[in-house]
Amino acid sequence: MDIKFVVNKKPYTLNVDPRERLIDVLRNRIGLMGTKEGCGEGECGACTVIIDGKTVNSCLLLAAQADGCDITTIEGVGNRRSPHPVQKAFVEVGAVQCGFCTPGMVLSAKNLLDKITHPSDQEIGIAMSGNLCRCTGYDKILRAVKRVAEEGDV
Amino acid sequence: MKYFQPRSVSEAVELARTTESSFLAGGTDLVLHMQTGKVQPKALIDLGKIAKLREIIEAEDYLEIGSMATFAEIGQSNLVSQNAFALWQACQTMGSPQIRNKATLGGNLGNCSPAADGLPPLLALGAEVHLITREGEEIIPLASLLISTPLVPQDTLIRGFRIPRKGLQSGFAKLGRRQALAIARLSVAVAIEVKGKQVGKVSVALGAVGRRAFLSETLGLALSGQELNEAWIEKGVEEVQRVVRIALGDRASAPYKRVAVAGVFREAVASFIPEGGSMV
Amino acid sequence: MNTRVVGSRVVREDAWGKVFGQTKFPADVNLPDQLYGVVVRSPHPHARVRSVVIEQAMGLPGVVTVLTAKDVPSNSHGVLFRDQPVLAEYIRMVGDPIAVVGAETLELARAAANLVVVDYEVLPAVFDPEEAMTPDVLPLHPALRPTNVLYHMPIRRGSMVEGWARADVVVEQEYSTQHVDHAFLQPEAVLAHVDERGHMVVQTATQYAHYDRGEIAQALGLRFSQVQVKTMAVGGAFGGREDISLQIMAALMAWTTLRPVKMENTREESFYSHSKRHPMKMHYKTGATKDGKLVAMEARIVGDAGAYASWSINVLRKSAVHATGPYEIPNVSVDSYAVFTNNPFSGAMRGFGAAQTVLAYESQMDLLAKALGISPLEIRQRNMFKVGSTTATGQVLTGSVPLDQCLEKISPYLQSGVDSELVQLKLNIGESTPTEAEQGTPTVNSRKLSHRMKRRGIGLGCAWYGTGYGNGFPDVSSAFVEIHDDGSATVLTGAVDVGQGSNSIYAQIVAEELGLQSEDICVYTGDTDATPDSGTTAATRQTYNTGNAVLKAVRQAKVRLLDYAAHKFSCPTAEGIELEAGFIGVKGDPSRRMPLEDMVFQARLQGERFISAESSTALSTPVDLETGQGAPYWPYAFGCQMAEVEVDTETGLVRVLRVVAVHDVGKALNPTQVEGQIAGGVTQGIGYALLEELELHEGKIKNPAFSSYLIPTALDVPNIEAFFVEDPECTGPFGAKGLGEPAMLPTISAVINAINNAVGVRITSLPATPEKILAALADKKEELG
Ligand SMILES: Cc1cc2nc3c(=O)[nH]c(=O)nc-3n(C[C@H](O)[C@H](O)[C@H](O)COP(=O)(O)OP(=O)(O)OC[C@H]3O[C@@H](n4cnc5c(N)ncnc54)[C@H](O)[C@@H]3O)c2cc1C
Ligand code: FES
Ligand code: FES
Repeated sequence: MDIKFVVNKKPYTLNVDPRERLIDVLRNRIGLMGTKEGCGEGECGACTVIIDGKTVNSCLLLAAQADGCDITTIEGVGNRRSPHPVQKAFVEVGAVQCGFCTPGMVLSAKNLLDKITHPSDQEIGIAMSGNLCRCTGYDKILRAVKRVAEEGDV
Repeated sequence: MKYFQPRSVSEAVELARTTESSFLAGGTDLVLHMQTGKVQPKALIDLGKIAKLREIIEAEDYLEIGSMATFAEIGQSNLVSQNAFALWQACQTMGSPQIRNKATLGGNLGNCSPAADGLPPLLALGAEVHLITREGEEIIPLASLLISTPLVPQDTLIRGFRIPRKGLQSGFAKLGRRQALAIARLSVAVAIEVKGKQVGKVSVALGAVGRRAFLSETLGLALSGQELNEAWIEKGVEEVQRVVRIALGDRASAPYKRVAVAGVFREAVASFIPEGGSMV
Repeated sequence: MNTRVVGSRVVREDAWGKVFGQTKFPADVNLPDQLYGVVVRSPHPHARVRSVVIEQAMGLPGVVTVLTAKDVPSNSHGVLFRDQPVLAEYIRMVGDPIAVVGAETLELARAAANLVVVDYEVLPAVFDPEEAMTPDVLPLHPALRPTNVLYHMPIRRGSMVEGWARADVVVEQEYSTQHVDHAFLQPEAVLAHVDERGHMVVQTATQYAHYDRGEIAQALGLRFSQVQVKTMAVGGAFGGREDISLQIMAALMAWTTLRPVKMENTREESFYSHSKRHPMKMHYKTGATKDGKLVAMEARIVGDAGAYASWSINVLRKSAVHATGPYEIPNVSVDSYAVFTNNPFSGAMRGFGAAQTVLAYESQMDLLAKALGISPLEIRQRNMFKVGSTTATGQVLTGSVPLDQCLEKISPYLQSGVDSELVQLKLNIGESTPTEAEQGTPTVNSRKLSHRMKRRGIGLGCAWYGTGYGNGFPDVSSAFVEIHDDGSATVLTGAVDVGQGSNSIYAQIVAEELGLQSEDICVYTGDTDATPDSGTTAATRQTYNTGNAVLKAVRQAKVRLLDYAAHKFSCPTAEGIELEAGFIGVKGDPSRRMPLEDMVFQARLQGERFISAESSTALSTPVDLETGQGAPYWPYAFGCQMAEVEVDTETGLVRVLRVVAVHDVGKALNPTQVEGQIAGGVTQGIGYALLEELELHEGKIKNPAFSSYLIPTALDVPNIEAFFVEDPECTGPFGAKGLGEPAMLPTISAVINAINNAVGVRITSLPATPEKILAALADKKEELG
């Protein structure tokens, strides 16, 4: 079947099998490797992408379900010249270790701050609770988000 | 495999009747089951493009929640927090933010896991299910629907839920192993009618103590029409433990759950009863 | 020592690529025309393969090959012994690979894997190590050991008769721990191909590229020089990427088909394809005098090695050596065993045998303190190791032993917590000082009603950890350094950065020595064609050991540079030359200096280059086989932690509200990274103590998924306050010791002791599940009548 969606502001028309998951289409068809698969069952959040302003697990979504949607992957958030404040804070605070969870973490944090400029500690914790990290113990990640929340310059 | 994206309820129902297909809501259960091979649908009817099904509407004497409303949407709705606090609470802790953004209440019922977080609150609040069957529209109490197997025929659409607006106080609590992404090992929803210092009718529903969530008549009878105080809570604790003991029989989890349910019950009523026992 | 770059919060260079999603993990690379490999694994824990029928699988269009045992030139691998088949004909555990299918697409390969028909002769299996030890159970590895006892380490020190005679109180208890998975976030993946040189190139995520190269070369019958293992970004390891997993199979298929081969584990496959943490049974008996001095300890430790040897010998040795805890005990008898069973094989995991015993020895300390009527802090302070102490293996601790400083720093936190407000998800931002930390800002004030049944308590845990391979095993790290013509520099070392950030530590070390910034340094690691073997990223050894090699290498290049400059500036000795902020010149004479790049460039024109290669070997000696006496590790790292928990007495649920961690790091080369290791360690410690448990049924994993094998989420971690004690270790680079593993050890016992403090029950088997806590509370109630 044919689907259309926008990924990182770029429109795509693709012919997909209705069984294909969004993560596979992003990684294998479009070549966006920043979206990671850690569990394939909605638990780890490494495959998080933002669809129409909401974070979702791209391993649990059929590509067809995203037909007509606006998708943001990690590749669509900041770059070396102009990193997103969340990305900058992650690097500077030390929120990155192995980095496998990082793309998903950054997207969850960005999406939170897009919605709430100055989230409370509790709001931060909840917003990040769908992304597992085995390395950092979350401490620096929460601090990095908190830093951006305090500066509020998103 | 075929994939349909109907734009209207009638189109969806028509497709269901004419093809051997499954309804696809958020997909947080179905896509996973397709992945593991547990189900292999011949065709999918994606309900995601039918805006009507997502609506949360306040009618004269009930609140109607469309089956495609997500846990995130329900958990952010003031209407829900005012009229169905227990359900609102359940939406805060269900899954994770990403799951809540996709998972729907209709899918929660469709999948009908023993631990489904949405069902005990709906049961306690006396919700009815709005179905569209082969014969037409049907409104049926959730408690009755949950007794049938299969839950609904393949071509029956869960249209939405109607929660009576009776001004009930309600609360929900679940016991999971972690603070997020925790499947309920036990869940309790309580709804009470308040008349001054008295409680009128009480409904208690339990999750993860049987094949499906259920409304406990025993508990309702034991706790209705009394003074709301410390003693009432302790009585509730005792009764709920007894109900769980009977429901679980000699299952491996029984020795733990029949004790632990006390804490979950207490937590569920804590949301509407402050310390001391008088009403907020 | 005054340092500029070392000790500062230098930002990790690799973090940028990771936040932009650019960093390539092995699953993220592909080659044109690649095949997809899928493994067929055994559903039985013990069996002989009678036959493998591949015709049906091969018949599927798009299936290119199915490899079985007979296709492997040299069918074995293993870190200590080559006791593990690449493709098995004799099955010793569920998940043993039997065949690997190669097809044009992943879906096809999976479908074909289901069509491979294996005929098994199922054999009786053994799952309980105690049972497996008995002489009438047939050995699983007769070629290796006549019984299932793979290893026995005795430690004999002093006289037990005398020890028990002196003891006024004795506590005796059995402890046990569970199977645990590393649960690194990135499942194993590999891309193998034969390149234009005819070399076997394997891109993967591993802890030790050079070891993988050896295993691949051996199995395929190639020379090391024909095999290149290139490490991609590693998505966490924690010991689980030490034993080789998919690499040999992918290489073999690429070699036989001459096509690139991609293999990727699903999470479920991942659970079956790497080692586990050893479950252990530990019987402890400890005696003290009435003034609180430990006088005797006896321990019997039985570790379940599972189906293959892996690192079990080293793990159970580490358990034995660390069995006393960081305390002086004059009379000690320890017997530690590693036993083969048909369970999933156990191997390396953060803490490496010292993580299990910490539960036992720290519980014993609290039990003794209670029996003696002194505080947990007091009993530890009376017995802790100091400089000059002798360990149970007779090793005299010289150098840095700052446990006293750690305990002093933590003591203000050991006042019992307030039993009122619930402190949830409190982020403690910025550097915390004890006073700040004491205040605590409750953000969620849940209703009291549900808290009536909740009790709070605090617990203390101490730990020690010997770093390095140990036991006299040659522990060598190597590095090459080159100073470039523009004054920047490159370090090459085999040491793999598995996410902990070792690369940026090396950059800091080189920058420090050359008067540069760490951005001026390129660190390239983990590629066997370009970097020298620097040992495995394990045993908390890369900062210390490879750090030393890097330091030696850069110093060697620097000596030549300084000599050259001395000559250039007509300075009598190189001591008169300094490197600072990109300049080189005569100390105290601004007129005689020039940019470093000019100097290096001029030198090149005269045929002089500043390139070096160095190695560093850590010190340890093997222990005596009968008495366990010797100096098995160096250096040792120490630490202590306080945990505050809240226990729901009705549901048995435990929440950890707060952890204060004080660790000895010698010198914090990068404080941000030290804190990161501590927070990560604490969280794994909490997972180990409360949540994580691999459930097995006849060797089969019942929960090979993140939905059933639960690790902590962001909402399960407490506020973590990390402090470190800097007592320089004279053998370490700039005085540093490692921290990776020690960081998780004290958490385990701090949490368990806190539960006891809160509700008066002692959990002796991990994890402390709500079920166990409620059962213990019920028992206690019964006892009290
Ligand atoms: C990581 C993770 C965590 C989770 N945590 C929780 C949790 O904490 N609590 C909890 O309760 N659940 C949890 N779930 C389960 C799941 O998210 C819920 O059951 C969810 O409500 C399902 O909704 P859905 O919209 O995704 O349904 P789908 O997966 O789309 O559908 C589920 C079933 O319902 C049928 N169906 C859906 N809509 C209709 C309709 N309108 N009419 C008729 N049939 C229909 C489908 O055909 C399918 O059989 C979790 C799942 C995951 C992956
Ligand atoms: S891969 Fe999607 S949630 Fe883990
Ligand atoms: S940094 Fe490794 S999983 Fe988060």
